[in-house]
Formats: sequence, C-alpha cells, structure tokens
Amino acid sequence: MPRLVRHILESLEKEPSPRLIAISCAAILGLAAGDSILFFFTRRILIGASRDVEFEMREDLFAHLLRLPPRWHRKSRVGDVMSRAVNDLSAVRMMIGPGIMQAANTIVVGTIAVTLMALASPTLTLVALAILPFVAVATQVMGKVTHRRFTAIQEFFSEISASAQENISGVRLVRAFAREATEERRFDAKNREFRRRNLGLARLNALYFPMLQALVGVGFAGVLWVGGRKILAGELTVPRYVEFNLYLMELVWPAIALGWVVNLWQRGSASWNRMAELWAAEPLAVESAEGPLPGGPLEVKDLTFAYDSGPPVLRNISLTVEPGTTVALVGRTGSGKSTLLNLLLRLEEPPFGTIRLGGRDLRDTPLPLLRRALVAVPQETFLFSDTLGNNIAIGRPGATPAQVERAALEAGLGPDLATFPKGLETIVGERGITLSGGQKQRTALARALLTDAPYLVLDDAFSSVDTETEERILEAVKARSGTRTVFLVSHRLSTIQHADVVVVLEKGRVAGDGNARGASPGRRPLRGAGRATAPLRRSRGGVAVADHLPEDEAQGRGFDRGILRRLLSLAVPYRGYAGGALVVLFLESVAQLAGPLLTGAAIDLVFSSKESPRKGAPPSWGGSSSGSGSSLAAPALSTPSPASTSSRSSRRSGSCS
Amino acid sequence: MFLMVEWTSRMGQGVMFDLRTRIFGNLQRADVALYDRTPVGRLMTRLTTDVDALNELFTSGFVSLLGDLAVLGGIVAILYALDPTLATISLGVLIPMALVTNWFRKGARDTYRRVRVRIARVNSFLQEHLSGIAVVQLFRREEAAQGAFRTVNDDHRVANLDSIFYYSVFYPALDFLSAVGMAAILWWGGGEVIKGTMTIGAVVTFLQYSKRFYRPLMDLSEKYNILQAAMASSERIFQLLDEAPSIAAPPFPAPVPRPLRGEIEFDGVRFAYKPDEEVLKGVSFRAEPGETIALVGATGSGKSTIVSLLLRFYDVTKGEVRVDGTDVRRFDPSTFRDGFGIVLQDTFLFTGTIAENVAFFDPSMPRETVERACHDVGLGPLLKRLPDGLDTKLTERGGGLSVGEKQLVSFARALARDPRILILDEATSSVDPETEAVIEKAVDRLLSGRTSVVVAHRLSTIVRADRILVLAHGEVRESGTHAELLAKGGLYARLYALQLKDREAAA
Repeated sequence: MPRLVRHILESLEKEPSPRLIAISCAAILGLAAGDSILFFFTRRILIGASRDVEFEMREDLFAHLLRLPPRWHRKSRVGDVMSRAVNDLSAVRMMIGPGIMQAANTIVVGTIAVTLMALASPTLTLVALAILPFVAVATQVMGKVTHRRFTAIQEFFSEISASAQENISGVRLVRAFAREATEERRFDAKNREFRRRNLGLARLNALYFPMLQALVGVGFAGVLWVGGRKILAGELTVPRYVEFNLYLMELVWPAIALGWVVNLWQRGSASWNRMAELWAAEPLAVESAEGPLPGGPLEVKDLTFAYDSGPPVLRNISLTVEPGTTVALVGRTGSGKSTLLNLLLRLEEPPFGTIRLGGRDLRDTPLPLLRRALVAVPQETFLFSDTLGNNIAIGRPGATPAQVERAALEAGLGPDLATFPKGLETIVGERGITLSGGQKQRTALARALLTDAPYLVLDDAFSSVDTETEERILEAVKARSGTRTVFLVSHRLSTIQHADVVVVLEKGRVAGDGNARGASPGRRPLRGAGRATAPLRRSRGGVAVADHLPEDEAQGRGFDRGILRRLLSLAVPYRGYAGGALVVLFLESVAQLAGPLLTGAAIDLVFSSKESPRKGAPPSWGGSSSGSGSSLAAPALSTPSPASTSSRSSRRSGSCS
Repeated sequence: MFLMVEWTSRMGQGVMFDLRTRIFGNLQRADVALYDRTPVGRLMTRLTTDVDALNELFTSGFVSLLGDLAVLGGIVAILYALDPTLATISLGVLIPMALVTNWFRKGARDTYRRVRVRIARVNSFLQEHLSGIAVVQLFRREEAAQGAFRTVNDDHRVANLDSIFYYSVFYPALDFLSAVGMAAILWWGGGEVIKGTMTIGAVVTFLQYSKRFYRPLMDLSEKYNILQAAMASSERIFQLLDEAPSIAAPPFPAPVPRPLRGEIEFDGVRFAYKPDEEVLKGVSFRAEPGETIALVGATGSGKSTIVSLLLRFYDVTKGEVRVDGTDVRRFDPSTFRDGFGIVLQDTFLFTGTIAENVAFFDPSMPRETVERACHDVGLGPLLKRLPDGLDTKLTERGGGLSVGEKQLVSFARALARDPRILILDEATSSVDPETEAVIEKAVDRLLSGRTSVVVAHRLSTIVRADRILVLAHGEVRESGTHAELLAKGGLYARLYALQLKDREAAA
C-alpha cells in the first residue's frame, strides 16, 4: 500500500493523471479489503483455535482430576488446584492464542516491511534498524525487572489477602476483643506496602514505553536526517521517502509487540509448568463396574498402616465381620477409627493381603465394584448446588421420586422436608438454602440408604443429630437393612448400643471387643466423646445464603450515571495527579497535531525548491531540512503513545481479556 | 510522557488503596449478621478482584479518554481550517464507522456478559466438584460429573467464539474503512493537486491526520469495555460500603463503667435470626458479679445465641440485655466489649507469634502481662520447650500447636486483659488426659474472680458453676446447681445420664 501511495505521489509530481490516481485508489481499496478479510480469518481461526484448545485442556484436566486418588486430593488444597486450573490455564491459552498470532504477525510483518524497506532504500534501512539492538536490550532488561517486581507483587498479594481473610474469618473474635482499630492499623501497613510495590511496577512501565518511544523517535530522526540529505543530493525522491516512512511506521508496532509476546510466552511457560505438575500425578486405573458385587465376610488380618513415613496409625489389627452384623468402632480421637474406615473404603490403599472382602483381597477388587458394594456416610457431608432430591439420588441416578422420598423419610428428613419451600425440589448447597449440620448428615444418610450397597459405613454420621432422632433413624435403618453389614463410628453410648459388636481402638490397636449390650462399654476409654466441633460461625438453618448468584455478580447493571459519579468522586483526592497528567497529555496532543501540518509544509517546501536551481543550495537549506527533519519526526515520535499501544495490543489480541 | 503514566498510576493506585482501606474499615464495623449470610470468599472478592478491576479505568481510562477527545477535536478543527471540502470527504467515513462501532459495542457487550457468566459457572462447577471430590468418587459419579462439566465448558467456549466473531469483524472493518478514507483523500486530493488548487504537502497532511483520527475511535470501544467492567465491580463495592451497620453506637452512648462490676441480666429476651423462627423465646436470668453461669443444652437450644446477644453481636427482638444495670444497646459496642474476655469454641489463632496472639497485636500490652497470662493458664512447660518461647511463629490458624495447646493460648489471650466478664464457649474436641488436666486447671483460673458465662461441655466446669441453666428449644427449662438438678430428676438428669456421665467415667 505504501508503494501505491508513492506511485500516486510520483504521478502528482511528474505527470498528473486522474486515471492513474483512480486506479491506484481502487487498488488500495482492493488490497485493504483483501487484508481485512484475511485478518478476519486469521483472527477467527487462531483465537478460535486457542479457545478450542482451552476447552480441551480444561476438560482433560477435569477428567484427570476426577481420577486422581483420594489421597492426592486430601493432600492438595482446593484453592491451589483451582488457581492452576483457572489462572494458569488462561495464561497458557494466551500463549498459544494471542501469543502465537502476535508472534506470527510480528515475524511476517517485520520480514516483509524490512524487505520492502531495503528495496526502497538500503541505506535508510540500515539507519532505521540501527536502533534494534538497543530496543532488544531494553526489552530484555525490562522483562527481567518486570518479572521480579511482578513476582514481588504477587507474593505480597497472597499475604495481604491471607491476612484479610484471617480477619474476616475471625470476625467474632476481633469484635469480642474490640480489636477493630488495631486490625485496621495492621491492614493499613500492608495496604501501603502493596501500593508501594504496585507503583514500582507502574513506574517501570512509565519508563519503558516512553523510552521505547524515544528510541523509535531516534530511529525516525536518523532516517530523516539521512533521508533528507539524500533528497537534497537528489539520490532519493520524496515519494520514495514517504513510502519508506510508511513501512517504518508499520514496523513500530511489531517491535513493541515483541516485548509483549515475550512476556506472554514467559508467563505461559511458567503456567504450563505449574499445570504439568497436576498432570504428573498418577491417576487411578480405569476398571469396569460390571460383575457380581462383592459379598460375604470382611476379614482384616494383621493390618499395620502408616501415613507416608510417619509412625504407624494402626498396628496389627485383626478382625472378622460376618455379613449382617453391626460393628461399632470406638476410641478417642487419633486412635485410628477413621483411618480404618478409610482403608475399608480404599480412600487410602491398605497393604496387600491385609483386608479381604468375600475372600478376595480388597486391592484386587475393582474399585468401581467396591464403591458399589460399600457406601459411606462421611463425617463431613458435602452437598452439591442441586435439588435435595438429586443430592440424595447421587448414588442411584435412576431412582424414582418415590424411592428418593422413602430414603429421605427413613433418614429422618420428614419434618425438615415439610419446612422446605419446595420439598425435595429445593435447591441446597452453595447456591441454595443452607442446611443445618443435622439436616446435612441426614441427607447424606438418605443418600446411602437409597443405594443397594450391602455394606454401610457411618463415620460419626449422627454427631449433629440429637439423640432421640438418632434413635429413630437407627431403628429405621435396622428394620430396612436386615442383611446389611454396618460399620459405625460414634462417641455416643446410645449409638453404640445398637451394635452387635463393639471394637475398641486405642492408639492404633484393638483394645477389646465384645457384645455391646453385655459388656459395659461405659468403662472403656470412651472419654472425650468429641462430637464434631460445630464452628461458631455456622449458618443458621434455612437462611438463604445466596441472595444473589455469583453468576449475576459477573454482570452488573451496566451504565449507571450515579455509579460513575461516585467512581469519579473517588479520584478527587488525586485530582492533582489527574490535572498534571492532563496537562502533559494536552501538550503531547498539540505536538501530535502539529506534526502532520509541519510535514506537509516541509514537503511543499521540497517540491517548490525543486523548481529553483538545484546547484549551490542556499545555506538556509540545511536549516530548513533539519527543521523539516524534526517536524517529520514529530508524527513518528508520537505514534506509539502507551494508551494507543495498549489499545492496539488489546485490539490485536482482542477478546482474550 | 513518563510523568503522565507516573501520575495516572499514582492516581489509580491511590484510589485502590483508599477503597481497600474503606472496605476493610467497613468490614470491621459491619453487623456480624453480614458475615452469617455472606461467604468469606465473596467478601474477599470485594476487597481484591473488584478493586483491581478499577485499576485500568483510572490509570489508562479516564485521562486518555479526555486526551483522545481533545485530539479528535483538534484534528477536526485543523482539517476544516485547511480545506473544508476535503475535510468533509475524509470525515464522511465516520458515519459507517460509527455504525460499525455501535454494532460492535452492543454485540461485544452482550457476548462479554455471556462469557463472564459462563466462566463463572465453569469455575464454580470446578470449585464445587473439587471440594466434594470424595463424594463424587465414593458414589462413582466421575462419568456424570465429566458429562455435566463438558456442557458448562462447551457453553463457555461457544460464548467465546461468539465474542471472537465480533472482534474479528470489527477491527478489520475499521481498518478497511480507514483505507476507504485514505483512498478518498488521495482521489479527491489528487484531483485538486492536478487542478492546482491544492499542494501535495496538504494531501500528505490529510493522509496523516486521517490515520491519527481513526485510532482514538477504536480506542473508544476498548475503553467502553473497561468502563463496563469497572462499573460492575464498583456497583458491588458500593453495595458493601452502603451497608450501614444496625449495631452501632447511639448518638449519646452511655459511659461504660470502668471497671465493670460484672452484673448481667437477661430480661424476657426473645430473638430470631429469621423473622418467623424464634431461637430464644423469652429468656430471663441474672448473674451477680463473680458468679459462674453454665449453659447446658442440645445443639440448637440457644446457648451460643445467648453469648452472641450478651456481646451484642445481634440486637434482641424483644426484651433487654443489661450489663451493670444498663441496656447494652446504650453503649458504644466497641468500648463496651473491651471489658469482656472471650474464648470461642473454635480456637482461632492468627498468623503471628504466640506473644502477638496473646496480646492480640496490642503493642501497648506489657510483655510481663503476656508472660503472666501464659504462665497462669499453664503454658509454661510448652514455652520452655519451644526454642523461641513466646516469639514462636504460628502459621495459619495456629498451625504447629496441638489442639490443647491452641486452647491454652486462647485462654491466655482472654486472661491477659483481666476482663470483668468472661465468656467461655468450651471446645468439644477431646485431648489427652494430661492436657485435659491442665485445661481444667486453666478453666478454673479463668473463671475465678469474675462473672462468667460458660457454654459448658466439661463436667468439671458444669459441676463447678454457681448455677446451671438448662436450655431447650430457646427456653430456660431448669436452673440450679448440679446437685439440685440431679435431685430434681428432670431434663438435666436425663442429659447427664445420656452424655455427661460417659465423660465422667472416662475422666
């Protein structure tokens, strides 16, 4: 396109022909149309592909996470996994989408522009490219410092959020001790430090872009100086010079974008490494859920178990449980009850040969089959944001509403159902109503009762249910599941009385077992009947937590004058800075505006001077050429203002934000 | 240039700093009820992500928007001054540009919202299923979860592809239109030059101005998105800031007696968290200075609520809570609570040293006070064992200490301020016998010489109380000493037989 402009200008200079102008204009339009269409497809295809890759990666990652062993999940923090699956994934996508697009763009545009420039004028090309090493060094240095400062900010960000989170979680304590003022002071100190670090990074940007601009400006000035002299010497025509300058302008953006691309790649590859750590974890093997359910007696033989390299939590445990019996595991906290249950459920892997179910080693039983056979009601219940009914039916997706209701009634949820707005159709969990601890436990119980699993594991499943209700539920469970084998952990004597066999664990060993009703388990070390500690900050039964969904939060109302006014009022204390920035901006704008005007004048001057005798140019030439030099430089100098570069960067990268 | 970026970042960072301070300050004064209904994560979002969303608006939004407008105005003026006809021609492209921009703005806004909503769904799905992974695996829901995830994930992708479409059309279209403008200038200007009514320089000037002219237009749509995001965030922030606490100091607060005598009176107190569900149905009792009152009852009987009302975390629905004869609503809540000492069931410790935790980050508390408090609750042996003693750093939530030790630190924290009224919500988790003995002694030390209200789980604590209030369904059913109540053979006697006796036997 610059070449066409040159032709037009040349024709204007030599032999003005309206036809040539018209043809050239048409060609410009054609080229622009072609360029636009290509641009459209590149963008769509490349960015679209990056979204597809993102989709695939996210899906694969989730599938992988679903199949990681329970033990892995217990050791990792949800927040950490989330940040990898969300933030790091998006950084990787940025690298393969906008990153690649921009890198390709830079390389292609750069190569073509440089080639064409070289064709137009090799000398000027060398002059223009002379600044490149400096740009490279500056980008490199800035990249490193940015990386360092950015990390420092991220680290401090974790710190400031952690401390705020602690304050919010401990709000009652802070209030009760009347420590609000101290807390505010502590936060203020952190807040200040955070601002300081952020400003440090901002200042770097404030330095980098103007510096880049100055370098580019130097390049343009150099081109002008050399080019101007060549024009005067008759070695270069003005149209050719304009063409060259247009190429050079095309090159400015890729040069700046290069820094951005490098940054994207750096962050993307760092994130890729973090995600790779998730991938490195070994998932469970995929096994078939078909086949006969394991049944028969459960035998534990000489089981000793330790977490990692710690001391053994269970030592030489041996016991046999006949089908249809109810076994109570008792013992104080830390005695190994939960560990034993986790091993039965294979939430932890028991050593080979220590646990057999129906004569088959537990480790050889396909996990899906085992999960069908053993159903657990864990200490802490997790409800999904779904209807109560669907939460109950989780273990038996095909259950009819009548079956679900029956399970709910058996689990003692009857009176609660009556108070829920939509009965079993009520949404519970994070986005629905909050159930009390007891209601949650009963829901989990209903979940278990709905399945046809022959083994039922109740891990302190009644800790938040009052004794009378518990009594009724246990009666119902026994009546329904005559043939079920039940394992239960409890601290309550009343619960334990329902067991056929009581196994007392003490420091990882079986201290004694016997008939619950016969022996007096009250004498056993049952002290510290630690019911699940209910945190003080609990949501009251039935209080709707989610008055607005997080999804709605993403939206907002859109444009609102009141909000805008309030937003602006926030900036009032800083009006000095805003005013200063505006003044600078105004000056810059004036310089920008003056640029083309001066260029035009200079060109006219050159053309008019051609008509005057060329030899022995008057000394004023030097002055005017350097004058035109600076004026020609002005537009170029002000081309990449940070605002426009950032917007251009986002323009090319577009929807990635 | 440098100055401009420097100043706008100072402004942006300043605004964000102020907002964080204000939000945090507001959170310190907000009603405790706010925390009941808002998950911690959401409050954290207000303080972090939402504030960050304003950064771009203040650093590169407002100021450069004004700059863009100034440049646009200047260019129009200059072009018309140079050549009105050519100016009109080159500005003619603006009409289709405005149409395209408007189309883009609407489309991009809608798709942007859709993308945001859907990514929120993807993330909350992930969060939920990672938190509940044990349930998913135990009930073999992996396939189903994966299927459900595919749906939300794909919805997100589709929304993104829609949004890419708008961007892919918009920018090339603007590029094309600006080429049209350029061609128009060359064509018309060229003709003029041939006619000799215009110089080549003027045409080049026009070309350059037109290039400069279109760019701010593209920026404007970009800025609109920034504004959009900032508005959504600030709306949520302002909502939080506008939440006026209902529990605040009255205009003329009653002076809090120093020291408090420690007389507590509940007079026909009724309270409901939700309008139609009364948790307390007319509770009345009185504690004389120095008395220990033990609250006993099943979960949900209203024990914790009594404690919360005494500290004025909530205001009663009916009746009055009086301390030293004055309705607690007449005090400044913060000054008033200063006279209390409290030990919560959930022993919450902060990141910091043991000493800092005992002093609760109060720099004016003398070191000796901290040491004495630690010694009095029986932390001495532990502190001797730790190489850094009192200056041992605790990680998040007091990590590094055992459950029992954490309880002792929280006792020391309450004791260090020598409160006139002590509130003790006993932890239910069990500890080994030696620690248990130490804790029992520490409780004894805590309760002696001050008015105490104890949500009691330890038999030793209950037996020691001057009076036991047995609560059921929001009412005081029985009241008296351990011996009296046992003799009565009522609710307490049943409770004792069912639950408390186990512990006695074990102890």
